[in-house]
Amino acid sequence: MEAVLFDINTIKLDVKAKTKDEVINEMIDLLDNDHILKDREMYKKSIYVREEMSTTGIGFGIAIPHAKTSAVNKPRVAFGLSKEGVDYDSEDGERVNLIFMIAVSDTDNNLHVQTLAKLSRKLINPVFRNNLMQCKTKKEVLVLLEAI
Amino acid sequence: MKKILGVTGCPTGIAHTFMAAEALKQAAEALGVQIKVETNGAIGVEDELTAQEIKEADCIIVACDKKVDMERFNSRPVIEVSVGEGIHKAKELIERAISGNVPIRKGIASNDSTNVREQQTSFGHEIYKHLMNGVSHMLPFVVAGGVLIAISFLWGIYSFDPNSSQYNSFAALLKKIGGYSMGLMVPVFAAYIAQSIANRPGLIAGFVAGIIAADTGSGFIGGIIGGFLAGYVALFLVKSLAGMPKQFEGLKSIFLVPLVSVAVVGIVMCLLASPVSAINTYMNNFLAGLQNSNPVLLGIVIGCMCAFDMGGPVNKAAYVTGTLLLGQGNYYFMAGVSAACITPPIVIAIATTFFKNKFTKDERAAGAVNYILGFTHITEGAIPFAAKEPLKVLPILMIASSISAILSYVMKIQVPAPHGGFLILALVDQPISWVLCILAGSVVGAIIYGFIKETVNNEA
Repeated sequence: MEAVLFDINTIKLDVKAKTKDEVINEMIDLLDNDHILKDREMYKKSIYVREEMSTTGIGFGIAIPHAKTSAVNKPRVAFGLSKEGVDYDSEDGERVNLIFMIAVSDTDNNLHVQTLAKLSRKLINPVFRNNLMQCKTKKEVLVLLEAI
Repeated sequence: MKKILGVTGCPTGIAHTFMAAEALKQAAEALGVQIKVETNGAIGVEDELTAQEIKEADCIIVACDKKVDMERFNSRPVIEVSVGEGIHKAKELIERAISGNVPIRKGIASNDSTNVREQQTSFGHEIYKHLMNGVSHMLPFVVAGGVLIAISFLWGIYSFDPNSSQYNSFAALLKKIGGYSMGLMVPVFAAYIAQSIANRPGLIAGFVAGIIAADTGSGFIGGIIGGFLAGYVALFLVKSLAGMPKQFEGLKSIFLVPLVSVAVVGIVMCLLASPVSAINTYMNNFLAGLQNSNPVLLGIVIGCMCAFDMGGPVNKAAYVTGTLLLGQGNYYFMAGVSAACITPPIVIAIATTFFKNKFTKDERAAGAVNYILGFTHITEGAIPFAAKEPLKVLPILMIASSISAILSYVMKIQVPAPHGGFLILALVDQPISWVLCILAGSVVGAIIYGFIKETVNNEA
């Protein structure tokens, strides 16, 4: 039994942003429009607090901005794909194509954390990353993500 | 083959920790190196490294952005890097680890891994963990013994008694074997509480404390007291003798620690025997009395206890009381306990069958399995559902279990076996009524659950 963490409403295949600040805003919009956030500003602040500790641009073209805060209604992982890439201040200096923005409420149970752990393990796999890059429709992305 | 260990951790503990762990594993595999990685994530510590593994490892790679216990790696080759480097430079890290040129971490080697664990988790959680270690080791003895005794009853309740007309020598043998197994209940319980606290040194004093508790009638409460006492006395002894020279290690572990811990714990247990056994007797009598004077109240108490943590210590407290009373010839009490334990998975099963739109496909599949789990008295089947929305699901299960237990007590049903669910129906004196009691509670629970639960979107 997996916790439901992904939704077609929070998947975006044509991320416009070019910079880190822009992409964080764009991804937060995605979550906010689907009523995932109780308090947009508070969530955003938590995201930046985490980024200041160390960038979540972990390389391999992936960024995983995340926050665990009471400003979240229900847990969700928004996914954004940017063909051109975003300048995300990544550890390996490369541009970011795959963005996972994670929103988890601070009272959340372990099921979601376990799903995130699985996603994280999966992201190390170049085949999985490549498959994500090749997705043409949101549905395809969802199928890939839900299969983890 | 080289053996290396990894430790990963990051502040939020939901992403980097596991990516780094995976990266290290893959890199190690590619280089033909054996590896185990401990993750310090939001779930807590998983795949925790043992003292033995640390001792045997060729190198330990710590890729953490948060504080983890480093003392345990003293005098071992250690590479310390950020979690990010663990993700990106996994290959280089493994290569460095097997190169043999890794500096040794300074400090004195610590053999005491229990000490490490204590600092990392809260006190309450520790107590719970020790208790559950005792319960989980004890249960198989109870089940095996209890079911053997129950089978002997197939020849009649007095089939063990040579003076009775029901006497059957095979039945008597089964009952005797079952009795030995049940007799180990409290000793094993106490021993493994102590083992959880202090590892092997605790086990010794724990067994002795448990035998004393069982023999002096201080029963389960005595077992808990004895287990914790033995564990902490052994832990204290091991720590206070830690300064002894290495040559005396053998003397310490096979002579000094067992001798002193058994003596101290034994004396205390014997002194405590009479007051604790008085409390134990009083509690058992109180519960047995309640069953006659107020079956409804007892049903509520038992139902709530059994459904509250489903297989945890509260559930087991009710369950073990039932088995103890079985030993004293009270078969009514266990009937309610069994009914209350069987109900939660059946609630889930019925709800997923009749409210299809409220559950995902996976949940419905898991729900169907709960029929089997329920029929065989495995309350734990309901846990995944309760874990998702504990505040909604637990009260419903508690209500349902209470109804089943109340009905069982009001109808004065007798169940002579401590486990087995519907497999032991042949032994129940009113099997059909008992099944109906359980179904009544389960159906009520399932209906409430079905109405309260939000509809899920099955299209996604």
